[in-house]
Amino acid sequence: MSGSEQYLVTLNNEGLNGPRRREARFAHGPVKFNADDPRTRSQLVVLSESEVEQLTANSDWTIRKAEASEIPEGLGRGSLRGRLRQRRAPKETSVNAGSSEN
Amino acid sequence: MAGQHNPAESKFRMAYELTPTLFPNAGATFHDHLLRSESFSNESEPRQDNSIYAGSQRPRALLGKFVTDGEMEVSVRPEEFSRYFAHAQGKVTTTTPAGGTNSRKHVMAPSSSSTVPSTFAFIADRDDLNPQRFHGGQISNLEFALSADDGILSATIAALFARGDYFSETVVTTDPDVTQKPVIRGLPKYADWNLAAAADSRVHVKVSDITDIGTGVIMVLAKVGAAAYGAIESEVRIGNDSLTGLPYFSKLYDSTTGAILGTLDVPIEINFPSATDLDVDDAWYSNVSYATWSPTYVDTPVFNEIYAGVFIDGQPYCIDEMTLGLSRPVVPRYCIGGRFPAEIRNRGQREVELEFTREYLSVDLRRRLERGEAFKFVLEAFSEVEIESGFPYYLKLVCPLCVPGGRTASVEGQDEMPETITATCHPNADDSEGYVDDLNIEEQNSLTSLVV
Repeated sequence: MSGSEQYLVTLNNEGLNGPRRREARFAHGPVKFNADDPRTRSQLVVLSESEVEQLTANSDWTIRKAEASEIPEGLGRGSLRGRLRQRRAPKETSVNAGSSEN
Repeated sequence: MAGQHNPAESKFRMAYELTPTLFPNAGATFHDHLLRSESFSNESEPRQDNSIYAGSQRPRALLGKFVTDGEMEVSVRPEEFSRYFAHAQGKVTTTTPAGGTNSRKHVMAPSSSSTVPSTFAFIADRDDLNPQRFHGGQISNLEFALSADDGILSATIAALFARGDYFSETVVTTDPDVTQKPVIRGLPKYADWNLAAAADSRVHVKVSDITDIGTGVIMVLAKVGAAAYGAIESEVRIGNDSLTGLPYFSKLYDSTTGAILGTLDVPIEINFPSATDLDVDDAWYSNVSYATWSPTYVDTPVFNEIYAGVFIDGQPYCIDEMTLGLSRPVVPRYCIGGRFPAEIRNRGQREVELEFTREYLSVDLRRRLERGEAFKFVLEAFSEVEIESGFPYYLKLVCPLCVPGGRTASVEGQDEMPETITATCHPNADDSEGYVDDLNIEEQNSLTSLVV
């Protein structure tokens, strides 16, 4: 996959054609959005080029490239850097190994 | 690169068609949904010539018409299948309930106010890098099923389509004022159907002459693959046939050899929705495979019978399991020539039937059955979550006039005495709540419109 960059993806609060609660199955993993919840209305997501095209063409969504200052280190959903950091975390720091990915 | 063909990676989506059988192109809104199983296909039935053929063996079979249909079984979530339900009913009335902001109540019934598009498109991506597009769909059967054991409200949605194929949306090669894209349909020649080398299989089209555009006709050059265009033109009629409401699709011919693109039985054809901004040298191509996509699903729980109830004549009623089916009289219209039908059309009366079973608990239904006493049936199913405070997602099925039929309860064993009631459902202009149609589907959800 080419062109994988972090985007700020927002499910618009008004003028939606589709559901207000959605789970997007992006190539880098699923992300939930709720148009009525400020915490999950906008999410940092790694998108492929085709996903950028797909979301840009859909008026329910607003997307833009994330500014460097907006990307918490290792915390962006689908962030490659974040995933690497999670995988490298020492096992003893994991409270519950069965659910550490979550 | 080969697809993995893992059924668990499959994706499915639908969109209404603005013009029947014209597959939605750029800018169309597709709606992803889950399903449990599906059987959508172009069914090919070879024809056999019965001539006596020395050797006592059947001669090679001939091509026959395609039957493009299938059904899917789904777990019903709020919103996810609302457009299918609205399409099956034909009309919908959408209102904002008093005090609600993002909640909408949709009453889907033949007597509702807004007309729902008469056909829909469906795409099945079966993880084979060859998503299949279905055009001109109409639901032939819609059946809801719920039982206390299984628990999840399910629906079986059966549909007939005018055709199924695989081409991608057209991609602009040259068009300085892009306002529309043509739609290409058909099946490639077997020799051209190369999924591994997309560029070699592409169908290219370039406008070569618009002298007669005022009469709705233009000339184009067409080719498959990367070689240069030749000089042989194809005549293309623009837009829709105002008499049938169907789009004009024109055959394409190779600009170098003059050979038909595709084959005579399923040619590769093109439609330009309008003449707007068509200029000489505008060019597009279509890949032999529709591009895959990242789906977005409704994030609400399925309807669970725990939060459901059945009412007969307004009173809660204990039943173990039920099915409620709507049968629509849709049939393919075939013409002489070609393998696919021209369209799916609706002729005749629809029928609604209800069946439910329960343990024999009272003589009430027995009396109704034997006296032919009609009743009103209501199923209400609620979701665990709310759209907004005080406004739950719900689905309500109402049949205001059900005429019972079938057999009365009898002993089937020392511990078995089930009561099965079948009923045909009919309109009732006198219904006190205004549910006047044979089947009324009411849903409260967050979708602002079910007609787009």
